[in-house]
Amino acid sequence: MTTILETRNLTKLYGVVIGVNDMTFELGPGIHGLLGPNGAGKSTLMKLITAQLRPSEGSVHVLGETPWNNPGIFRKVGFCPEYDAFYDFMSAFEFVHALARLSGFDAPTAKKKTERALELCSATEFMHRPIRTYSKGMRQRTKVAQAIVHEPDFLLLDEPMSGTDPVGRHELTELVKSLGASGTSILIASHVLHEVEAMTENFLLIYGGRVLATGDVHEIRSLMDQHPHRIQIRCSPEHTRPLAERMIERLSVTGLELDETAGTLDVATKSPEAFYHGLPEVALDIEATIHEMTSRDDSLEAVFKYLVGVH
Amino acid sequence: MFTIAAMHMRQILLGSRRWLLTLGLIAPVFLCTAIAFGGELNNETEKLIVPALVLFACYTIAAPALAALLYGTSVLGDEIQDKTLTYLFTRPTPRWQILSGKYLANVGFLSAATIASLLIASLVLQPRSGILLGLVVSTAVATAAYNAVFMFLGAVWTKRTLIAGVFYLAVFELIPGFMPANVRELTITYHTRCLVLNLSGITDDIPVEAEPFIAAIGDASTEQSLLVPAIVILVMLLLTTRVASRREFALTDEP
Repeated sequence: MTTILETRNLTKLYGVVIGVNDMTFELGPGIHGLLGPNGAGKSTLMKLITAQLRPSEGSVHVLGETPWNNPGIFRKVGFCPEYDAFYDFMSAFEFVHALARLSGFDAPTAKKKTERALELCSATEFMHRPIRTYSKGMRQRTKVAQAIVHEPDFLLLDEPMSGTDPVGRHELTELVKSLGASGTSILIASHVLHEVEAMTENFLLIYGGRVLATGDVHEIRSLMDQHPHRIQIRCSPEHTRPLAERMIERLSVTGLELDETAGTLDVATKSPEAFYHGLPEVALDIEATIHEMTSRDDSLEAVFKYLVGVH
Repeated sequence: MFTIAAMHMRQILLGSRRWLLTLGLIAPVFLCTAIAFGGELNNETEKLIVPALVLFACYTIAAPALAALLYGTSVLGDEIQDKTLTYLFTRPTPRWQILSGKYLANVGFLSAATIASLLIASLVLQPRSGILLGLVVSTAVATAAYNAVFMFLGAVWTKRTLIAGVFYLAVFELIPGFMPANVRELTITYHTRCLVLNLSGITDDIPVEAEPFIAAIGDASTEQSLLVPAIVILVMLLLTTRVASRREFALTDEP
C-alpha cells in the first residue's frame, strides 16, 4: 500500500507548550477523518504537514517527501485552511484563478481549472461577485475550490464544514466522497464526529497532541461502547420518579440521577441504541411527556475523555 | 512572479495606506508651490541651488523613504495579519518568486507615483533640466533600495516593523548620511545625492564660494552610486528570501 502521510515521533513545541507530542502514524490512500476536540493539536498537525511549521523533533513525510522548504510538493497537495481569510477585493473567480496561476498553470488552463473547481463547489452562481459580499458558506466553498483547483493527489481540509448550511454540508460531503472515489486522498480535520462520519469510516483520533486511536469507525465506536453513554432527559416533575423506576426495570441503565423538582433524569447506559429504542414505550406506559432529551456525549470532548480513560 | 505582482499591485491600490501615500506625495507639491510663490530668489546661484535642494530633500530622501516605510515593511506583515499568507506559501511557487513579485510591484508603483509628484512639483519650481534628470534617476534608485531594506526588516520583524524602519532610517541613514569619511558611503542617502550631483551637471555652473558645500554632499562617481544601491538591493532580497524560507509563519495564536 502506498503511504500518503507518514509521521515518525513528530513533535512540535511552542516554547514550553506541546502542540504535537511524539506522533507516529501512517495513512494510506483514501479519505481519513482527523478527529479531536478544540486544542487537540489538529491545526498544528495540519500546519506541520503543509510546511507552515517545522517539526521540533521527528519527521513528517507527505507522498514520500519532506514538506518543509519544499514548495514543489504543493503541486500534489491542496490545503483548505480553517480560518476565514481572503483577499476580499477579489471575486471567487479571480482568487481561485490567481492561485491556479501560482500552481504553475498558464492563463487559459488556469481559467478552465478555476471554472471546473468552482462548479464542483457549487460556486459558479456567485463567482464574479467580490468576496467581501459572501456569506460564510460561500466563503467556505471558495476556500475549498482553491484547494482543489490544481487537482491534488492529497487534499487537506481543516474544519471544512464550519459555517456551512445543511445543503452546503450535503454538497461538500458528496464532493469529498466523489473526489475520494476518483483517487484523491483526503484528510479532513474536524471536532464534530458525525460530520466526518458521513464522508469516511477511517479515523485518526488525537487528543492533547497525541494519537489516541486509529482505525475505522466501528472500532472507535466499540471502544466508546465500553463506557457508559450519558443521556439527560427532562419531563414533567410528577413523572420523574415513575419514569426512573420503569427505566431501571426495563432498560439497560447502569446509573441514574434524578431531580424531581426540575424534572430531570441523568441516565448512564452501555447500550444507547437499545435505550433510545425502548424509551418511548416506557414513557407511554405511564403517559409521561418528555420535553427534552440530550445526549451528553454529543460533544467529542466527552468521547475523548472516555478514550483517555481507556488508554 | 507576475501573478503575485499583479495581486500585490491591487493590494496597494485598494489598501488603506493609499491615503497616507497620497498625502505624503501631495505635501511636497504644496511645499514647492509655497516656496515658488512665497520666497524670493535673489541671484543665479540661489535660483540654481534652492529648487534643486528642495526637490532633492523632498523626493530623493523623504518621499522614497516614507513610501518604502509604509509599503516595504508591510509586504509580509499584511499577509500575516490578514492570514492570507497560507494561500501563497502552500503553492508550488518558490518563496523568492513570491517576494520578488511583491517587491517589483512595490518599486514599480511607488517609483511611478513619486516621480509623478516630482514632475508636478518641478513644473512649479522649474529646476534646470539636467537637475530634473538627476532627481528622477535618484528617486527611482532610492525607492528600489529602501524597499529592499524595509522588506527585509519586515521579514525579520513581522510585528512593530514600522518602529524598526524608523530606527533604521534614523540610525543607519540620516545620521551617518551626513557624517564624513567612509561611514556615509555605506548609506543609500549618500549615493542618491551623489547621483543627483553627477547627473545634473550642477557642479560645472557652481560658483567658487559654493564649492565646499558641494564637496560636503559627496564625491562618489555615478558608477559607484549605482553599484552600491544595486548591491544593497541584491543582498537585501537574498536575505529576505533566506529569512522567509527558514522561518515559520504561524498564522494563529495556537495553542
